[in-house]
Amino acid sequence: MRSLRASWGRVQEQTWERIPSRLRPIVWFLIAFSVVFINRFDDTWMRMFFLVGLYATLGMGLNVVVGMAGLLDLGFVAFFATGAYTVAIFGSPVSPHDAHLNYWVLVPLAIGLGALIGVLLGLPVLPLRGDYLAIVTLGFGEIIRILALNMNDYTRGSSGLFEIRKPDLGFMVIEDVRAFYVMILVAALAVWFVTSRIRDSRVGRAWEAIREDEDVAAAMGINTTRYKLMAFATGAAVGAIGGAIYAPFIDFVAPQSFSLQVSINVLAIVIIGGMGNTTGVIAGSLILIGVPELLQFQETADFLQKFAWLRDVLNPVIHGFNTVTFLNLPDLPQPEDWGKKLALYRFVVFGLLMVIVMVLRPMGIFPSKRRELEFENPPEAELAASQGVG
Amino acid sequence: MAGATLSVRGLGMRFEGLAALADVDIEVPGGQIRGVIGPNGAGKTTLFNCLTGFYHPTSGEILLDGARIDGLATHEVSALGVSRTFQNIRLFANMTAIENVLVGSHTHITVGSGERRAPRRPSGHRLLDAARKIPGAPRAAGSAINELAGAVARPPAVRRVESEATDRARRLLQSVGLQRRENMIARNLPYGDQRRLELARALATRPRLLLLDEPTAGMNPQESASMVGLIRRIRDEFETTVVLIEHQMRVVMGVCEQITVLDYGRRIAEGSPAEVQQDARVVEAYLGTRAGTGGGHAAP
Amino acid sequence: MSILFLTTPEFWFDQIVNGLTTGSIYALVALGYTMVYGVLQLINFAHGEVFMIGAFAGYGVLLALGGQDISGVMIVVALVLALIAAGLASGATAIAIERLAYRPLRNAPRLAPLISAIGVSVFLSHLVDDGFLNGETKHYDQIFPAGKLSLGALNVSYLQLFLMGASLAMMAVLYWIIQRTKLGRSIRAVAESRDNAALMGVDVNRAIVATFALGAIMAGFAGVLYGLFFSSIRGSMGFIPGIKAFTAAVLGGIGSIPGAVVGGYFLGLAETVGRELLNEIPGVNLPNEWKDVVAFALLVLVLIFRPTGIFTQQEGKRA
Repeated sequence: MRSLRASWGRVQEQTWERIPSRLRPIVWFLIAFSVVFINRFDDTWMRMFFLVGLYATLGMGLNVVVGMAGLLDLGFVAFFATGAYTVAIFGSPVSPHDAHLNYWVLVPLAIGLGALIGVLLGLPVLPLRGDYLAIVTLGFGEIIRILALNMNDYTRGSSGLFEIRKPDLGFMVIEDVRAFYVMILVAALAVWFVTSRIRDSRVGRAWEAIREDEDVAAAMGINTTRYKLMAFATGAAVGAIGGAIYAPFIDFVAPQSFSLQVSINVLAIVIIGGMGNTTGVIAGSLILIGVPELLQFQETADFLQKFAWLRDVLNPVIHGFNTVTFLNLPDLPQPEDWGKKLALYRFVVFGLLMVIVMVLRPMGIFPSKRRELEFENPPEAELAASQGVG
Repeated sequence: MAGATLSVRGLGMRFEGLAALADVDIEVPGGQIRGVIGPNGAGKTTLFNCLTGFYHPTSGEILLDGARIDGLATHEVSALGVSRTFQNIRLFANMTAIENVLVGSHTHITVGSGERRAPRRPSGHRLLDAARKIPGAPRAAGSAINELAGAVARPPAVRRVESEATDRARRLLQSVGLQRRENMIARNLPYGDQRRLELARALATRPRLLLLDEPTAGMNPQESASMVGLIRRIRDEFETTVVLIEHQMRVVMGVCEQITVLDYGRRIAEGSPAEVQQDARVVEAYLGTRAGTGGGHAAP
Repeated sequence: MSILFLTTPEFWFDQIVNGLTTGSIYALVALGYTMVYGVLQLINFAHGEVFMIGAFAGYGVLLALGGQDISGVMIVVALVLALIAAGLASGATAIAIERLAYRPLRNAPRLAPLISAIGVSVFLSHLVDDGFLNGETKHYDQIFPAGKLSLGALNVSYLQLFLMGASLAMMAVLYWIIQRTKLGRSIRAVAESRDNAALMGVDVNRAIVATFALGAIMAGFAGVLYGLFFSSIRGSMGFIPGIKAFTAAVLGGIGSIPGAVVGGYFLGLAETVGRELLNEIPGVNLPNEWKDVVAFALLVLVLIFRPTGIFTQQEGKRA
């Protein structure tokens, strides 16, 4: 087992060594670009950027759980929902339990509740084997949705909560999609800072050790249950932050927004982007969230219109194929619909990619946490040296 | 002080009716280097797993400096000063050498009081044990939040313990001869270095009892000889009791002051290397009816 | 207290029969989870989708044979053909999944096959829903003769009778295969210890493939029975029954074949009878969705207090 893993490691290092460090400028350039030219993009584009930022944030949260601590959480949506519902239940005039609280008071409450639910959920399961956690979280994600649907006195069921109070900065109220984009960007940077600081600490090392070999980690004095709970709670808190920002942005909090698909989205971003790797998570979010959104744009449809001739070429081929094989394949759809059709198949692609990535490249498409070390995580030698001076 | 005394009394470990250990008594005075030998399947590694809390023995007791440690969780046993290496090297394969050692220092990279209550032995009732933890929950949550906050904010105190730990880790790597390897990924290290790194990691926990499971397995005679020297030096420098499982007789006879012989989960002999070598039961266990199984001389 | 007697005996018998009906579907699906877990210690997350494929294969056969118009002896023929098609389709799917998504990862870190399994699950359910059906729900034709068997207060529809009987028969055949055939012995040997089985000359890969196939065939049958009973089927239909069947397998002690069957029936009864019993408490009115919550709560409780299952001795007996 070890030799197989080691040989995989070697293949990865030889082939992919430099990818993330090359990727990094591209990712940061895109982010900077979207800020500098923030007024050039219309709302559809800004919405896409917001969603990419949101999912990158959620991805960084789940990355703590899955990538760093090696705990498979399939119900991340539960914490996202906790954050969104906290802000909505206590901060919306339509809610039966409106507490008339300022948004900024509700955010820490959401974070705290998210972490608490994470701990309560993890407590019974985390001491057990890892795969039980996967199934319990999977079920729990679904339970949260059912609870939200049925607890009408709090959530108004499927009618949902809206008119959620917007974040008020004193000098301006965050209402515009651009403002929300900047807000999620700030949140993402904060989460990135916090999670990478933790990763480079004793806690992060304990998580990694647990991921590598839980028994040995315990033999080194690490209270594995405690650290697993910490990872779970940290991830949950980040999920809740995402929810707390999403709620006023979308201004409609209802159970249908919190399906299993959200969990799968976030998990796919973490897995495909590269476990344990922040740039990979952002890149993953750009590809897995940004591209499907992009495909649904009017611009894309207009652009695809140019390929109408492809339809005239391929349809006769399909007809011919149908006559030979007695199949009944449909004609190609109108070119302007191609993007939307493709976007529809995103989960088919996600699923396939998850399998391919696991089979061919178990550390993600943009792996090499080790190469990242050169950037984010200076070798302990330099770390100590710089700290010794400071 | 010179390492902890280890007392094993009437230790038994059964797996689904099969006795892996039965009524084993071992007394190791502080600072001794004790060898545990025996044919394959004699229960040596099972003994180590009991000593480190991987297994909870089905009968008997284990005392470290007179205090019971059997039944405690692995990390609690470790915190009391029991550390080990593994027969089939188990490093954190994707972490660097120095990170491996730093994980070993885990319990010593703490800020503040570092107060530590003696762990409580479990009652054997799951519910009761769970209930006992409830009063401590708020404090546990508080200390977890504190630790996370410290990791994020990195106040000077945190930085200081972290850099002290790093210095210490570097010295440990040096003392096992890995000073030039500290930033290499563990799985990329040569075999002999992996064994040394495992030893450094075990030492980082500041053990009072160090358990070495076949420290020279797979090594050539030269490497073995240097490992023997290293083990002696470690005992003296780090003031720890050492118990080691070993198959290479040259190593056992060279380094161990006393030897315990296990066969079929029972202690069949104990004494100085010379005494054990002459013991009829030992000779029989090794050369007797099961000579063909290659038990005693497995190391390549 | 006396409220219990306001509801008629008929009502409670109905609940029990309903519980046993859904329970037999859970039991059939749970067998696949428990067998695969027994040999590979892997939760086959894609098993719910294998069940879904079976449901669609059966649906296709019934449609091709005339759908609503099937009558008389043809009903029997159609059902048999639908079950065979479902078994074949599910079995083939599972063999393909094992070969492509699990086998390459057999020696990989623990997380890898789990993630791969989830990928397969997402892929299959969305391929059917988004790729073929555009989110539509399909409906099984109600070809089974209506009517019921009445014994006093006990009423069982013919369909439910068929469901329970057929699933019992299938499980009996499976049990016979596992206990009495050479293939079954090899599966049991691999479940006991893969290394030892290999040393004894057992073709481990063949045994693992057989485990997947047998479990999948049971799931495929269950898919058809599900379609006949609940009618509506779609790509994501495997998710909830999948979690429930896994719960059933854990309840019975994962790895144990009889345990999965008992766990399946127990969960079926707990959901229906259990919910109604709770509803008897004044002030409690649990909507239908809560049966999912009941199942899940049971799963967590069992994992905490009896991780080896509630019906097993402390030493969990393997398949």
